[in-house]
Amino acid sequence: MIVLSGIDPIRRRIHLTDVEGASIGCEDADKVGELMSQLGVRGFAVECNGNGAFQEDHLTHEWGIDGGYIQYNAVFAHSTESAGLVGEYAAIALATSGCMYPEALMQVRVALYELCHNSFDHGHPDAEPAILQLCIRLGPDRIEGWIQDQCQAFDPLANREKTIQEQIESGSRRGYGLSMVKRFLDELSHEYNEIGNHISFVKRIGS
Amino acid sequence: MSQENQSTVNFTFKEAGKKVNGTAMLTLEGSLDADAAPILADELERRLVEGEKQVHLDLAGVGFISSSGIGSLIAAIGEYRDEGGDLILHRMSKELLHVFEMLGLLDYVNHQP
Repeated sequence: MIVLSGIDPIRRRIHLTDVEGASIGCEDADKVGELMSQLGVRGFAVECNGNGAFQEDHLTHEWGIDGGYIQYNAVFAHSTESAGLVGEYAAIALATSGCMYPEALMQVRVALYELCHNSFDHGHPDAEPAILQLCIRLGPDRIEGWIQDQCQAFDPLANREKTIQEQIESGSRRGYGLSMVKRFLDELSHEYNEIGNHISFVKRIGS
Repeated sequence: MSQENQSTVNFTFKEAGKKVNGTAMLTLEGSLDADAAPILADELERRLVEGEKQVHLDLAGVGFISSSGIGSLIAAIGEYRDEGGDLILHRMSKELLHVFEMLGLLDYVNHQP
């Protein structure tokens, strides 16, 4: 199994180790590159680094193993651009941890993109700097995690979801996001806490 | 005539040199997300206004699609069909097909291997 020990989505670099923390060789790195290519993630140069933490101005990242789950914690500067990075980060982290369900990875990636985009669009106060925290955990039968923003209250579950037929007939380009989030994730909950919106999710895999 | 769009977003499209049954084939590459969707929507609208009632889209190079990307495609399909034409989607990955299927849109779109 290959473990992602550091990631820099903006510069498109990743750092990989095995589960013992040892750097992996180029052969394995190439395999990860192939997997990323299959996932549609392009342009990554793979580097090796045995550390379990990684920090850049825009991102802090940690990984570890907790109760049979491989867990990643990352902090992003929150902007409309970060929605893409969060989804991409999650897909790469999960893929490089051995999750071999590309369809599940795509769905989690899309759902996180939509949730992050929504929370920023609907609830970000002015242009104040904000961060977005992501925790994502890969277990034997599920992907689970949460995102925490610093935005105003926005509950994605509170809005009525249009049916697909209504959506088609409306001719609108907007309004598919909530359908995608609800259909792609098996469990979803929202809480507004002292920091902002906290959204927990579960995606079951392999069943 | 070949036409290419390149911007700061991770998305490009270009017209393939070879036409399909006399109609254009656009090859899409990258992420069809909120930044890319308006670019595609504008191009498809321009072609429809100029009288192209059928356009083929090669999606083999699209690795990610968001709600904006889905919305742009579905809205454009409706507009083309209203004019008696259609958009035909080609070479969608298994993951992309699954996205359409889970949304209940696979039967609505005209897709080819």
